Amino acid sequence: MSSVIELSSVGSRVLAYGYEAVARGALEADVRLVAGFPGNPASGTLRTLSSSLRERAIHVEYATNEKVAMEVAWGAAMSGQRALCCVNMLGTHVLVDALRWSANIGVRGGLVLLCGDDIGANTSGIESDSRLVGSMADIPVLEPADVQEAKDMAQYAFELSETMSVPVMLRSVNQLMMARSLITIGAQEHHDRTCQFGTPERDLPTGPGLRRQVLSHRYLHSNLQKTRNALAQRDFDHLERRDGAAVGIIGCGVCYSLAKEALGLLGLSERVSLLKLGVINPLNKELVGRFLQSVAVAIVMEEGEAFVEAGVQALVGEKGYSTKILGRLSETIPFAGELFMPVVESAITHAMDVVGEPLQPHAPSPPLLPPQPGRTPTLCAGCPHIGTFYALRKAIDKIGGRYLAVADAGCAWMGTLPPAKTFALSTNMGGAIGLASGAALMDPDVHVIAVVGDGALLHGGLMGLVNAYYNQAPVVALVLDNRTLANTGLQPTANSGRDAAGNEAPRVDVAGLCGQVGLPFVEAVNPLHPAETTEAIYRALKGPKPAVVVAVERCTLIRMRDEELQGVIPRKAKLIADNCNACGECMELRCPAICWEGSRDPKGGTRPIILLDTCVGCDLCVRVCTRGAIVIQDDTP
Amino acid sequence: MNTDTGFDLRIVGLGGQGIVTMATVIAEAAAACGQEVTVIDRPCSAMRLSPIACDVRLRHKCFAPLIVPGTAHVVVGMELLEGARTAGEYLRHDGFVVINAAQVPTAGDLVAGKPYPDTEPLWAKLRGHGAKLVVVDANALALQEVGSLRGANLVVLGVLASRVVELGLPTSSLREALCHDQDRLRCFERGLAFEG
Repeated sequence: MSSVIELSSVGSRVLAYGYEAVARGALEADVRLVAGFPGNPASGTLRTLSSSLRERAIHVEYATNEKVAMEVAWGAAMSGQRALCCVNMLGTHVLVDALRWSANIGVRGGLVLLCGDDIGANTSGIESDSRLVGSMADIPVLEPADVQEAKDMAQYAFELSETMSVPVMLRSVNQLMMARSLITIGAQEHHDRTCQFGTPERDLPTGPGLRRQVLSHRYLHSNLQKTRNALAQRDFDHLERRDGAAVGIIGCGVCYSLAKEALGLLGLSERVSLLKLGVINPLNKELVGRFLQSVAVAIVMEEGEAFVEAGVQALVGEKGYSTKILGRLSETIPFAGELFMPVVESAITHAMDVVGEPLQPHAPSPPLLPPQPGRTPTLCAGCPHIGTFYALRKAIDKIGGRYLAVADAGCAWMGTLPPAKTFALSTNMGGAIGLASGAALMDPDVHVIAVVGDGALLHGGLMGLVNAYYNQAPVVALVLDNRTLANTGLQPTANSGRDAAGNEAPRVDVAGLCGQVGLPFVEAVNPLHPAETTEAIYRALKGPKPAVVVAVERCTLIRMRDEELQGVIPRKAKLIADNCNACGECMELRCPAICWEGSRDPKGGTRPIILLDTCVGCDLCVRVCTRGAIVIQDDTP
Repeated sequence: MNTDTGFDLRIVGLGGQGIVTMATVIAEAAAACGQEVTVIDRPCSAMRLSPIACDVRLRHKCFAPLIVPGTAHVVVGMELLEGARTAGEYLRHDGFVVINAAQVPTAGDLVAGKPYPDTEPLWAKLRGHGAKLVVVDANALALQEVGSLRGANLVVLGVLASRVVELGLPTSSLREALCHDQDRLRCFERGLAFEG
């Protein structure tokens, strides 16, 4: 067990990730239910908490999607218990409806929504900003500046949620959630509460002729303004004023820490005022107003959209301040992408120019080498999807004509990148079948295939499939049933047969589920057998639609982990050079463990070689070789 | 004007090569010595062979975990191309590169049938800027020591600990952070003793 979640370590200093600090804060607040859906940078909080299950009366679950997770957490909070919902920024999109309802109706036990925003889209398909969703739901949004504050805020957020009877959003970003630093472990609170389901008592405003729904919405707005009183005792927002400073920085969340470092590096710590904002919604207008009046130029630094900046601009307009505001709206800081030290430094340098206190010019040192080609992620050697994608390409070749293949979120997106490069694009989680349906309905002459992982199918793709059946969209869904959410770090899902703690759990039968929809064609195959998989996809493309082919084989990383535990000796493929005619069929798999020996000579003459460090002996290349030139050897290395 | 006394390492390689583990050992050792430390993981996916970087920042006063390009004191690479690319972008001109001589072709090159690029000219350029460089075939040494590539990262850590005194961490603290695991210690000691 990680020392971050051990109760005995109270008072000790431990190295913790931001996501672990949030988990620790929730434990210290005596959270009783945690539900979420994986997605960096919030996955780690769920993983950390799931490892503490055996010792404590706490339920942790991977829900089928974020909306369900939010509903489950809300249910616990309505029962008077403290609950946490963990999602990443794309998950925030999915749960908006449930969040808005939970705010309108309210909570009794503290309900905290952790939104991990992958600003910079380091591991995500797109970039987004959860804070806007918090604002839309009229709930408080907190954002920590460092790892210690992530723990403190997470703990406090439950109390705030109970005081205000609404969910509280704890938003953080990659730069903090995936970072580690030393934190001090605190003691756990104890809240022994009787479970009783009910809605919170609220003193709704009155208005003649207004419906309750409108009054509850009006209540949320006045409630949000009262949040300031509840927050007054905490130091999440504070002012570091420097006498005579013409420039000030408003640092939101982790940007406060970046600004502080940048000021140190530029030698400006005593010449620039700094306002730390940890409460993003509602904006601390009184404090921000005082700050703005003390400087001529204020830079707003935040990760994501110009959310706080827009609020600051509105305040300037409302109060008639003369302060000049720099940020994204003024194009001082570029929209999109992580706020990175060079950007922070250049914004500060620009602000110092504006107030007539230019800094000594210092040119950043040029890179030592010209940019070198980067590397994109690829499917792991031995991945069953390598067989599935190969079979799909073969089936498409066989049937001929135009085709369109779209991938869902998850490992399927690897098929949009080299070397597989089979799919036109990848979509939102669970979205590929719907997208494919629309395309297929518009152009019936094209073969349209949606490639969907099992996690994505159970997340929302199933509704797309039901819709395709009902509305007769001529699509083929290729389901990658590898029994895990591999792309986010091998988390379990409803067809894994294990729960968040790793215990045995009921397993949803994906092929059976598709069969129950009533589709004319559902067939399950083993993708490590490329010939039969190709045949099944070909029949699906040729026959009545919507059709589903389910490729069933556990993720190779799970296979290897299981085999290592069982003491199975790793297997490797071996090329028998005498049998090889360099036809290149094994290369068609686009497996990262096979490459041409030397550069490929158009006249032939070179042979494939198998990279033994990478090969995991999945048998795919053995099966596609028509000349028996690849065999498995068991006694490697 | 700049009174920062911090020391920054960017550790890079591919998923499965033990990048996060190496960063963790350094960070735990630093924490045990009472030093301020931040680490950040920068994966781009959960896949094997996908690029990953860890920034380790020692002895800084602020929490700002990402290293600025052109300022890293050390770049540690578990793969030649990844190391060269990162050093070219992140290393300060007089910095230190510790590199594992492993070659893992990129997926694009595999399909195109391109040979693994010659990294020698890149190292020569870096040396020309004043950078110091140690190349170690850590995979081979780990295979000799423990019969597995697992441990190559700790061979590289050993080389780092013996060659870069500015790291400022006693080898005893690093050993302690290896949790008394005999295989891990053997790889680390092999790296410490590496000459070349």
